[in-house]
Amino acid sequence: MSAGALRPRFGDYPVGAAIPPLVRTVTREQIAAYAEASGDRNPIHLDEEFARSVGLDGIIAHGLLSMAFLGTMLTEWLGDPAALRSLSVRFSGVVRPGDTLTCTGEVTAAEVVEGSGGRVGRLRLALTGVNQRGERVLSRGQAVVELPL
Amino acid sequence: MTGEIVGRRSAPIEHTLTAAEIRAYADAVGDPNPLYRDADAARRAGYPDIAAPPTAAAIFMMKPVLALLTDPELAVDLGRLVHGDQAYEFARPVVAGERLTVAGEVVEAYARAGHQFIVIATEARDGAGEAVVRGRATFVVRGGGER
Repeated sequence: MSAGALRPRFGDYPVGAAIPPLVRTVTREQIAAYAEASGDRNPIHLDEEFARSVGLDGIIAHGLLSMAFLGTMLTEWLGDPAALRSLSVRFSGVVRPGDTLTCTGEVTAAEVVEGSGGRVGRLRLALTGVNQRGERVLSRGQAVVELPL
Repeated sequence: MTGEIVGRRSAPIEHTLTAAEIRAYADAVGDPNPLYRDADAARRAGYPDIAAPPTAAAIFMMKPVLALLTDPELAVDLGRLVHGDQAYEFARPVVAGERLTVAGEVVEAYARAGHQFIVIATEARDGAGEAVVRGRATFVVRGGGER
């Protein structure tokens, strides 16, 4: 695959290195499309009146939609979704239609391990998602990825 | 009800992930990767068919979660339900057409600061019985810790 040439190499990502960030603006239409695609049609994501009736300021995005942005950031960088071994995050702030999220990732640990197909480089990354006001809406994000040596 | 729900399990749920579902998911989250849309591109990259983005696990992993949370005995008020955190471990990408069996279990439940917290572990297995995705998530029922 041609994209293989573009895959990041372990040695280029020491502890402290940043990966390419991802910026996404969430829209009402996107939240509705995510509800359909994921099957999570909780009205707090879809129905303005319902959301207000339960004490929210209006509809909110699914936490998993914001998490998907972290997934996209990682797999765009990695070139192959199989290189992503784990992903976790805390949904620490509400995301509303119109919010712009900036996702970032930084290497916190790097080691060479014995994988199923030989030696690979395993990186642990810390991930964050911040909205346009600088509020952290995705926190304690962590991923483990495996790269060729 | 906080303590006694620990150990509650969903019935195993079968889900065949389709190419259409993968594409709808990738479109919805705005991920343009051809591996998620183009079977030829996916085969060139070594996949037997269109691959799913790792986080598309939500399509099948949320099924047992919603089954548990909407169980009439748990009586969780969806309007007060917030997703607190989510962790996934991926054995490999799932590809279009795979039939998965997904199950979930309440592994922790506690009240704190007036809210109820429910932790659910989920697992998706492939046709060979191998775990392909494992998940663990915390859900918060706002105001649900009040008595």
